[in-house]
Amino acid sequence: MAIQARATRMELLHLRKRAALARRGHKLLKDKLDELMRQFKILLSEYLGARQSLEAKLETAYREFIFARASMREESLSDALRYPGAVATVTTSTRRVMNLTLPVFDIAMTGSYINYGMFDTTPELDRSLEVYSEVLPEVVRLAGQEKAIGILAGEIDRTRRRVNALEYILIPELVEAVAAIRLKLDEMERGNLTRLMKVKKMTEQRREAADAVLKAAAGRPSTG
Amino acid sequence: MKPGSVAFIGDADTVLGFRALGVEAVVPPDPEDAARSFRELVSAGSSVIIVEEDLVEALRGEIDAVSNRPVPAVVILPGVGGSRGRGGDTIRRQILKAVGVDLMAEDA
Repeated sequence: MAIQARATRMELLHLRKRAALARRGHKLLKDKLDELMRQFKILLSEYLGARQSLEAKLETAYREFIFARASMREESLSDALRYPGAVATVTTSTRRVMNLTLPVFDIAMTGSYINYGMFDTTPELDRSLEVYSEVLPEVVRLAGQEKAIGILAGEIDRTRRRVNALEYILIPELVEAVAAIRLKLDEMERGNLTRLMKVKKMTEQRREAADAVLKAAAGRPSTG
Repeated sequence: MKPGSVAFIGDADTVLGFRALGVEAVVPPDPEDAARSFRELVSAGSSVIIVEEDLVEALRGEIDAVSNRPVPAVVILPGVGGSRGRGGDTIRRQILKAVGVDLMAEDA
């Protein structure tokens, strides 16, 4: 839908200003989009393959655990794991990319995960927990990466919508409205000019007629 | 910055081993319960919430609700049953939406 505006000089100036602003905004947003893409690509190159390798490790961890489970009695296993001796805490710091806040996770494990007696448990359990404890920090790192990618992807999508809206909708509409007003103003100007010329011609003709009458009157000898 | 916890929502077999490491293990008996526990974990300030693949559908709404916030981060991992590739799919969809090109196609 085109912008409706009165064809006045004031409106023209106003619309021109808006068009200039829209162009500047468009340029800025486009630059932002480029930078976001660059950051996104960096993140992506770090991320690629991380999930696959993690999932493979996780699978071995699960397998170890199933072995551990099979080698123990059900009750002693759940007894052994009932009260975890380790505490996993994640400290979250943040990192700014453009206008976005991305989380950076750092995991710290305190205490020993081997918090059970040697008597009731098997070495398989120890081993499987060791594998688990290697996997966990990677899970947390993956969490941070995926989060960052998700946030950035959302922002890129939003920014691109804005850029496109400016480029294909708002700016063309403004340009069109400005052109329409220009045409109308020019037409009015020409109309005015011809009207003036016409008026001038008419007054001249009238004056000539009056002069002719006067001259004729002066030429005739008076009969008074 | 403030420390948060790691939580794992999944079935008993998957979660048990992580529990020994101090990860908060949540074993929901049914999908509604999973959604409720998820919301509780979010409001309790968990930094990282690991969700087992099979529960993703049930938690879709909850996961989407936090996807624009910096924390918590949600990771979708396969359970003991093996991978169905849903975790990778989720992130891949996001990339596709952002770039318009499937950048991960070559390593699929």
